[in-house]
This record gives sequence, C-alpha cells and structure tokens, in this order.
Amino acid sequence: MTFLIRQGNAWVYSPRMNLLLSVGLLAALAQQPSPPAKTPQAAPPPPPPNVKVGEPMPDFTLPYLDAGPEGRAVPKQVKLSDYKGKQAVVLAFFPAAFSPG
Amino acid sequence: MQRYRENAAGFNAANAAVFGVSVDSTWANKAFREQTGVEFPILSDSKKDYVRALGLLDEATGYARRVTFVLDANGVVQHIDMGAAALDPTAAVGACSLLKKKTQ
Repeated sequence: MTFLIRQGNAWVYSPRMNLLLSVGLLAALAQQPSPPAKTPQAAPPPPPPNVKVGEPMPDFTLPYLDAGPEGRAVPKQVKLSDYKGKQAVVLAFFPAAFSPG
Repeated sequence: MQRYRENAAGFNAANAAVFGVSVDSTWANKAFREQTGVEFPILSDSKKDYVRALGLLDEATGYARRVTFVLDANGVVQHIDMGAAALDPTAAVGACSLLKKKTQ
C-alpha cells in the first residue's frame, strides 16, 4: 500500500507517512465487526388460509369473460352462494394467468 | 390450470363445478383460458379483496397463493390443497368423488 503526500505542487512518497497511515488503516479494518455467519434457511412456509376444513367458504361474486359468438367477450359473473344446496364446488386459486398448473 | 382441464371428466362425474380464481384482469384470464383450452370459468378478483380476506394474497408479489378448496353442496370446505399439492388436481377429484358418494 502506498500513500502520496502533497508537498507544494507535487505528490511525493513519504516512507514515514506511509507507515503511519498503513498502521492506522490496518487497525481500523481490524476493528470492523466480522459479518455474521450466514446460515442457510429455507423460506418459511406460507401461512395457511383463513378458512379451514369444516368451515363455510365466504361468499363471493366475481366476474369473468365468456367466449361469445364470433369470439366476442361476454361479461358474466359467478356468485358462490348460487351453488349452495346444488352441487360441490372446486375453487382453484392460482398466482397468475400463464403460470403452470 | 391445464391439469385441472385434463381432469374435467373426473370433476364432471362427481357433479362438481370448477372455477379458477386469480387476481388477473378478466381479459388476461380470458386469453389464458383460450390459450389453454380450459373450459371452466376463470374468475378475476382484480381488486384482491376476496383473496386478501382468505389470507391467500402474497403481499410481496401481489398475487394469490396457489390453493385449491373443495366445497360440499352446502358451501362447507371439505378439502384443501396448498402450494405444490394444488398443482395436481388428483386429490381434489378424489374429494369430489367422495362427496358424491356421501350424498347418494
């Protein structure tokens, strides 16, 4: 490691200054706390849904676009409670369109 | 969703109505449905109110977590698949078949 000091208009090498600065720098480095050891941890599992087996599913009314004649989009909606007393319902929540599954 | 489409016959046999749900727009879900040939509706919770109420919203990504619920005809949850398990609808089909047997 080399430090230059300014004398007049020129930068010059000073052995004594270099010794002082090097010792000082090393001491400062030695005092820095070592980074904490990294322990590999698996991501925590996502929290379970608020609705459990045996509990009623909260009602919803959500829209979708059905394919109409000539490829036209027909706005429709589904109300969960409309199925009550009629048939079982499977609700598959997924992150995003064009995702696997 | 594709694998749920492939299991449509199983769900139909059990007289279960299947819906996909995501926080995407209705247009995105329509395009997704057309591309994949999924016959059941894919509903849009674009305001994210419902998925948030269920605790399914991943706040970091803004997307819903992958969870499948099977409800009986009374709207009571009978089966839940979470995460990777929810990619495979086999268990959900089984749960629907079981529900049908119970009601017969």
